[in-house]
Amino acid sequence: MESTFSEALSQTNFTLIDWIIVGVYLSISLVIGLLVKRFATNMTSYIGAGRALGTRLGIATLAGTETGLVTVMYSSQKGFTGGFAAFHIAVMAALGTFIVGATGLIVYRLRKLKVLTIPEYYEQRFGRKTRILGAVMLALGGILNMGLFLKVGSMFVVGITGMSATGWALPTVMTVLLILVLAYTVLGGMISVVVTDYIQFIVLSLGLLFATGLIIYHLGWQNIFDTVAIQMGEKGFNPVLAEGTFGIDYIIWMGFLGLIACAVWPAAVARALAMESPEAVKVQYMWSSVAYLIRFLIPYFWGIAAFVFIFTKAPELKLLFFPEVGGGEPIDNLYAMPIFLGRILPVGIIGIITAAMIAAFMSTHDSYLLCWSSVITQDIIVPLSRRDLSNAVRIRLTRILIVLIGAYILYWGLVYKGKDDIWDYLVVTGAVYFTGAFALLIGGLYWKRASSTGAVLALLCGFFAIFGLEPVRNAVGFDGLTGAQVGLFTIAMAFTTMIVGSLLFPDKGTLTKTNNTID
Amino acid sequence: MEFWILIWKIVFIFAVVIFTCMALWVSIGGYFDLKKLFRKLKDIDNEEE
Repeated sequence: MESTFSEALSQTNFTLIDWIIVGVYLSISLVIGLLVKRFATNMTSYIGAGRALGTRLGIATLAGTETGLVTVMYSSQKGFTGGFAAFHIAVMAALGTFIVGATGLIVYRLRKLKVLTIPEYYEQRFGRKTRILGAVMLALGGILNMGLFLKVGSMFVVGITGMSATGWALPTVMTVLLILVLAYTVLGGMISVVVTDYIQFIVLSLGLLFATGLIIYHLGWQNIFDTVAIQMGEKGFNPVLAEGTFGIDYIIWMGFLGLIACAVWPAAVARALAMESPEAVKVQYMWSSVAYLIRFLIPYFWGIAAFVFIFTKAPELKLLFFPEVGGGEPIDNLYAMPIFLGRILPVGIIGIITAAMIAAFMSTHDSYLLCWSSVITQDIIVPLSRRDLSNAVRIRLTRILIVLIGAYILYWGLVYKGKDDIWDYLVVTGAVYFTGAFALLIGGLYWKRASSTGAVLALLCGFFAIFGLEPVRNAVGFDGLTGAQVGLFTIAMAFTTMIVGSLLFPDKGTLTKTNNTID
Repeated sequence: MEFWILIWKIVFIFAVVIFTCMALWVSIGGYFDLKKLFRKLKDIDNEEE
């Protein structure tokens, strides 16, 4: 099986010309990141780009950050297994982002308060202990969440270039990509991230649109729909179908995720907090809803196209991915999309698409590394420290943390052997943070009676989200529940504890009198 | 099933067209925003000195 798999991988159109294209692109990104280093002189510039982002640049950096290679990979996996029915997730994400933009929900008020991070707001509203606990939950959920990014992204590079999927290739690709991202994130902070995000947005947009056109040209528009209809039937299109891959509770869960992915997720909120004005945040989000739609929709389409390609044009791959036809263990279906692209895209174009995907990989990694490290510095170390730390010390600490988190994701990617669906893994680990944070932000920003006790209880509820992981559910006897049901229950619990805790244990003194519940 | 096929076709085409327009606007306008950003950062730098 392994030799058949290696043979399948090696049938790629990727050549030396494509390697050169990728190399040139990566060098340009690195040089730009290093050139803007001199502007990162204080913490506001280093982690907030001086709060000077214009609307269009804000859209580019938000879209660049949230469209990662890991997004492309797990989404193509969802399209590969769920067909067009997976499109509903993209629609919910776009609707959620548009609603946040139109109403300014959470992000508008946070920007108005001029905080640099979400936990900084927790302290203003609920006190120092809540800030530290909130930051711990955020860093824990966030760092666990990005634990598989490096590995999954590197699997794309291995799959499309035709390297061996076993042995040295994957760890080497992981290490090289990580070193590149660390170099310019450590040195330039948010300013480097924004500049490279802008370039990456252009390359990524071109890559996504161009490859989609080529796929349609290669497989035929109607043929793609017809093949899914024949192989998957109605469940390949209808997300509401009870016996399908999704169902009503899953759609509701995705609706909630659509809201929090842009309004509460720190990497996205960091973009809102770096904008030049609260009004610009609203425009940024309304337009970014298009990017939130595309970041899922096109990768789903690529995954569906890979499925169609395997069933109509590559019988040898059908045996590898669907061994029930021929017997044996299936190979990881994350490889389906890159192998497919490696076979249909011509020389040169494949290099540009790979550069675009590596652009997506880098723009997500740099932002996430900066986000979690700055939260640990600003919201855990500084509040716990008894003295006021200078800007230079804070920047140095943040840089050290970026390297440490980088080392962790390399280690986690190499040792983690879980078989969870990547999307489920990401949602559950993210939910440890965002379920409690959503209740805190809504309560803190919109309800004057929200108290610090209610806030702490709501944050702690986030731990319950861990039961959304299938192995954990099975271990504790929750196997009758789905991950979506556990997630929805955790949100309900966080809001309930926030309300009950606040009513039973209201804050005494000055905390709730700060001006952070804006009328 | 026909209903859902039609819906997803419309969603896909609409998304690709509007994204193409947005990508053009952001790519061109982003360049001017970048220039503005560096001007502001330079001012901050000068003030600190």
